[in-house]
Amino acid sequence: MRRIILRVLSLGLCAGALVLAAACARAPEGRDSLRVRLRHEPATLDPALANDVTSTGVLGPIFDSLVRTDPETLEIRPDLASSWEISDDGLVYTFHLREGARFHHGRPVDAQDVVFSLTRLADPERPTPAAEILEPVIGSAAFREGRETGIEGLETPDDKTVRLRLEHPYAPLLARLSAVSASIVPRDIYNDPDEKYLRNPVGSGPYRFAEWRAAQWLRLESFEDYPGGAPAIPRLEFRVITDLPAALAEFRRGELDILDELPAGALRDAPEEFGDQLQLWPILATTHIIMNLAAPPLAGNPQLRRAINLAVNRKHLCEVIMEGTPQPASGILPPGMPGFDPQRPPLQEDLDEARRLLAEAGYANGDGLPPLVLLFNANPRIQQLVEQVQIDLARIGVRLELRTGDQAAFLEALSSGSWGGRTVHLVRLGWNADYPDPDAFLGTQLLSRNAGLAGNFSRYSDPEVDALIEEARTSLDERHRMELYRKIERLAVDRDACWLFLYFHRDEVLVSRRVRGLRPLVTGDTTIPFEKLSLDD
Amino acid sequence: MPAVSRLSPFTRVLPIVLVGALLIAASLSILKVSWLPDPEVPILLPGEKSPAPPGPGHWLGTDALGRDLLARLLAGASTSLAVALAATLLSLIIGVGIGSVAGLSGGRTDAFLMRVTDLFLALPGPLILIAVMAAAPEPRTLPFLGTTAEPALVLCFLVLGFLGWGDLARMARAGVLEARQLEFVQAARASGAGPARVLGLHLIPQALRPVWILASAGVGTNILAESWLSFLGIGVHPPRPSWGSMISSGTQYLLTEPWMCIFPGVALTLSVLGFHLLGDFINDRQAVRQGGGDVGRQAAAPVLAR
Repeated sequence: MRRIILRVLSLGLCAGALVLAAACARAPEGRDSLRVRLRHEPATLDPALANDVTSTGVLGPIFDSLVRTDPETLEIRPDLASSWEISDDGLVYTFHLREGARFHHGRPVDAQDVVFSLTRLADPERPTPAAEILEPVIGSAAFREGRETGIEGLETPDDKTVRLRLEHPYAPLLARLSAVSASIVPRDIYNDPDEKYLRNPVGSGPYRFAEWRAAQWLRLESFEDYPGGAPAIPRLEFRVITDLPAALAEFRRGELDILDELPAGALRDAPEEFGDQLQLWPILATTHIIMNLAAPPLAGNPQLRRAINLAVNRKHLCEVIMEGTPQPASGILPPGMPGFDPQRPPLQEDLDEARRLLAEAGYANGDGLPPLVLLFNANPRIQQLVEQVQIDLARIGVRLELRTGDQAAFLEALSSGSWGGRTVHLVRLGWNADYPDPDAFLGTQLLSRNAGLAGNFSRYSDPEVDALIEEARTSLDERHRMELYRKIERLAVDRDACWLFLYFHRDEVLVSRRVRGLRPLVTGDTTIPFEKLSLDD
Repeated sequence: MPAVSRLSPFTRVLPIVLVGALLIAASLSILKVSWLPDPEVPILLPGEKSPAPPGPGHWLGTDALGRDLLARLLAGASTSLAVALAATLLSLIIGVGIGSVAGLSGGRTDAFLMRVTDLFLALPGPLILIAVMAAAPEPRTLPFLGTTAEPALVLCFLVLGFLGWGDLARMARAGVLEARQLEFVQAARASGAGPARVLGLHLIPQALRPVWILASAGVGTNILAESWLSFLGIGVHPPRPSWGSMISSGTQYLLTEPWMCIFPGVALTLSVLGFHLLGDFINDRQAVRQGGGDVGRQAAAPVLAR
């Protein structure tokens, strides 16, 4: 009997400790904070290094760029620069900084900060994924190669004016400058050799960084001195909830205001349960599986790549496995993106042709083809997706080995092309346009000199495509540019089958009824303009 | 309480039934009986709504990719059993080897081996398990066994086996220490039996009696360990089914299509229970035969008394 009492007592103690621990781990909250779910920890808090939507989603409200993309209409609007002029030949951009703009630590933003922030992107000692933004600016190559200590084409005629002089016209420049990675940071903090800013980001955006509890939550507070007044919602709370059903339960209990995705199986009943809280936004994003074009057997074997593309049943994938949210891909550019070709039909499944091409590639029935290693980031829904692809490809004899890891390791493997000492042949990737220009897909991901970290993870390299991308970037005739992008897409998709193309996204978001002012965003739920929202009581 | 009364029909029959069912399930999937669909290929046609609920054609329903849940459950049994048995065997070999050497030699060797054992017992097993499974390169080939088709499976049992021998070594050492003092062993020695004969015929079998109990429960623990590794996504790789990964993908559907999660969960519970009860059963059998009390506890006494 005594033992039983002891057991009950110890059980009670354990339970008590658990409850206490849970209570302590709970983020401080109130009716005045907007609670947003994060699916995992941001990979970095330095905007220059941010290359994934979780990081940019958290950093967006903290930082301003020179210009911003309107998330609803894709127009380029003023941000830190209140106005700008572009010379007729497209070679000189002059930005006038907004009066009254301050960093969170109190100092006004000046032109030197802009030069510092942009130069930082191309720092040869600390490579960033966004280095390419400055590529057309005069003197950036010399700086990147270490021959100069500054970039010649970045000028500051006065404290509130910045001028960019280019070597050649560069059509996507404004769009690219609107990306989170091109954020303007205070130079007195970001040249700190101890890199304290990595944990305490300081920007000039509508929200300032308040606190970060690793793997739990990240809190931002409204910035009183923001030009045009502090935002209506005083606090933003990004809560890291990896487990999706748990996140949905939190939303149901009213502990979350914005949920960025729905668990498998929940979408069917969601319209009935959540009504107008459920929003489906077509966004500028695709899911595909990139192919490692630098390693055999996929390198130099377009028949094999085309066979793989023909073996996947995208209709089944979208309608059954992904529950009807996405739509089968017709190529690389998603609908809504300038340059999207509505005439292109969705890519079809054709097993006979796939088998024929596989034999032509030298692997009849898959004989002699080693298993291909497919890497994906750990997420039950993505696992279902890649398992379905595995089943589909097995039908023609192409075997896949699925491997997974956490987000940081995944990004690392993505840029290095190997995983635990083994070559990775395929990587599941979702790609959101970080600026509204077809260049965000085709230029970033296909240009041969962007191989690796800069976005061309598959290491695609084709001189003809390279030349077309450069031509499209330097052309100032919009119609001609879009024709060029369509041509690039045809070459990469129809001729080279450079990746395994899967589908175009729609963003499923749950937004609680107390949130006011949120409209469908073409750029997705990681670009919500929090400063425009308000909360009901 | 006399030990004999504990041998109720319940403890006698239930472990046999549970472990037997697991063995049959595992062998069904290994033998690929004709009425069982391939666990890795969907039985639903493309476009058909999945997961499908239990019904004719798929008695336990299908998973989200339209694969037959019963077939996957049985194949998962063979995964679990293969990993758990191999790991326990490995632990047994290391544990009994180290324990009996320590018990027989005594002195410094004993002290050294037991400190090493303590070290292994003090290691935070789950943490190391996760670290090794996530970081270790997968063995492509194995000595004596050639190329392996299931590198993750092999890695899984190697890691579990190398981490789980501490208790077994202690138990084996205690058993040897105790058995050395037993009259029939001394009688054998007195009647001129050589050391090898004493060791092989009398000492080891006697010393191993408590070890079997622990090893049986260890199989259950290893089944559980393999499951949670696969639940975390670092155990066996898809498409090979494991109860852990089935539960993991099923949790997403817990509220709408609960069968995906419940069936593998129940199978896991019953198997672990079965092996633990089997340990109790062996214990009771030995107690009855010896007419003594609790063998396992007696044998462990010298270790605890130190």
